[in-house]
Amino acid sequence: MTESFNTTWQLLQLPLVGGLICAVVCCYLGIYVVLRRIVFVSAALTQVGAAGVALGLWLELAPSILGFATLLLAVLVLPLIRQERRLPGESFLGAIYVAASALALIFVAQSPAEEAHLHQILFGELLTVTPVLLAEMAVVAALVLSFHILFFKEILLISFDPDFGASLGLKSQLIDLLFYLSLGLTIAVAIRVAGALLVFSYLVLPAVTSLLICRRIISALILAVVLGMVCSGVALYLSFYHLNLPSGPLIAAFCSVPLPFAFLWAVLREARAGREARTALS
Amino acid sequence: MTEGSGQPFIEFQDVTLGYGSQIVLRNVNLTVGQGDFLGIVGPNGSGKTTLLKAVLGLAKPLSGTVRIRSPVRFGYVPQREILDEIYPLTVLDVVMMSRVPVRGLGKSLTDADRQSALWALDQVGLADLSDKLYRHLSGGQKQRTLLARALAAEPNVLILDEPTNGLDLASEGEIMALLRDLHSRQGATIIFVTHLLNLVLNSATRLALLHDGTVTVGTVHQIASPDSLKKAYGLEATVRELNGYRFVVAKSDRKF
Repeated sequence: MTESFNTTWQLLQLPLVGGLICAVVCCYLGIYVVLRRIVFVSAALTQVGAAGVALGLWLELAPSILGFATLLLAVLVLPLIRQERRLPGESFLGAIYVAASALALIFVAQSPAEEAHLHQILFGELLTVTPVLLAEMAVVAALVLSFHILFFKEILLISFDPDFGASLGLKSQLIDLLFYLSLGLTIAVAIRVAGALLVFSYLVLPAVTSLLICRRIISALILAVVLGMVCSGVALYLSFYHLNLPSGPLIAAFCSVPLPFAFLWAVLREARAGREARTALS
Repeated sequence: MTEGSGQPFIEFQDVTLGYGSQIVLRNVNLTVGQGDFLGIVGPNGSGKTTLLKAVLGLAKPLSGTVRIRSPVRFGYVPQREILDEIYPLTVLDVVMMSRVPVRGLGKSLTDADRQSALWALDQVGLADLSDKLYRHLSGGQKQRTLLARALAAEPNVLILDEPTNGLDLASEGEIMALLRDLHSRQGATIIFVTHLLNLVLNSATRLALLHDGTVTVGTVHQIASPDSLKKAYGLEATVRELNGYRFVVAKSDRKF
């Protein structure tokens, strides 16, 4: 029994570390994804990254680098979409999302290992993650988090009011570009570890939950990261030891569990605040 | 054109502004000097925000020269509607933002920055609300928070974009009284953009009237004249005075 547990634990170690690293960096960025109202942008970027990784898998050419290259291209196109006035920006994002998803599937279909690669793009290779890919993810996470922690105030300012920052001489456009590059780089590598579905879940679900509960941005960032890590750990443990279910979708499902409770909490808190305000008036 | 008093902070020489092939304002000549209170007025869509963006360096001129005296620091108060209220930020968080570019890239904010922010909040009468969430404030309180944020930057020039839009009379009066006080008692240089001419008639020292792609700059007396107003707004209007306060009355209003 103990021997079996030890063997399973050894198998679980790398996926757990991979899941936790992805959770930390993606959930942190997720707060900005939600606050900046770019959830659909991140969905489109996730698919663009998936298409790049799929191209790399088909051509057997550095999938992470091709994923980042395609994301870099998309990030450079984003300002043009934001300036577009003839049609809503989200219509172009929808077009990018669909085209990138289709291309990802087409590229995967060309690959000799079609089924395995399709599974890798959608669900990642969390269970079979290699130490090399894990190291790649760790380096990217360290780079991205260092940038975000060092320039936390600047990133928050240009997210909230870029013109005000620029009026005081802050390089708002450059910081904005670096923000999107950090997001693109994270998605490109995290997709290979965790897959498109889980990366998008990490980017959205813990952030929405945290922002419903927390009254300060720092606490929202911390709670989002903690939620992502706890959900990843619990879901991976259950998928390994108790449930015969795929780990990626199980983590995504776990990440969504606290959301309705957080929503209820926020509704009740607002109702109580309203009651208190009315009492104070009467 | 009347020159602003003192050495100019801002100087526009034959500036043409626009977007791509669309020209919004042409041959703009304008200076803003120490102690000026310049009201930028004009009908909706006349290019007020475009002119403001050019002053702030957010829009490059298509031609001509924009000279901003160095070092000059702007205290920009945007229209509060453009700021997203989903951010979980306290009033103090918002005001402290102005210290970020002042302190320098990647540098930590200090207790001195906090004190500057608290001083600015005190100036606008919001010291008691520093820990309250920005999104929970009333419109007038939000506007005063943004004014405090601009003041905390220790600016040479305060630039306000339609700061009284959507405010009730009391809040509008508070903002205008605060600005008049900053100008008259502390010598602040102010650029105030509004589509409501009456709002700046009794505060501004000079007016820039925008209409049909042109900018006419002059004293309040020169600009708020029946001829200028007819040209800009296409209405017969007169300037009246009551208890020392000037206001414009459009003729079409008289029958009501």
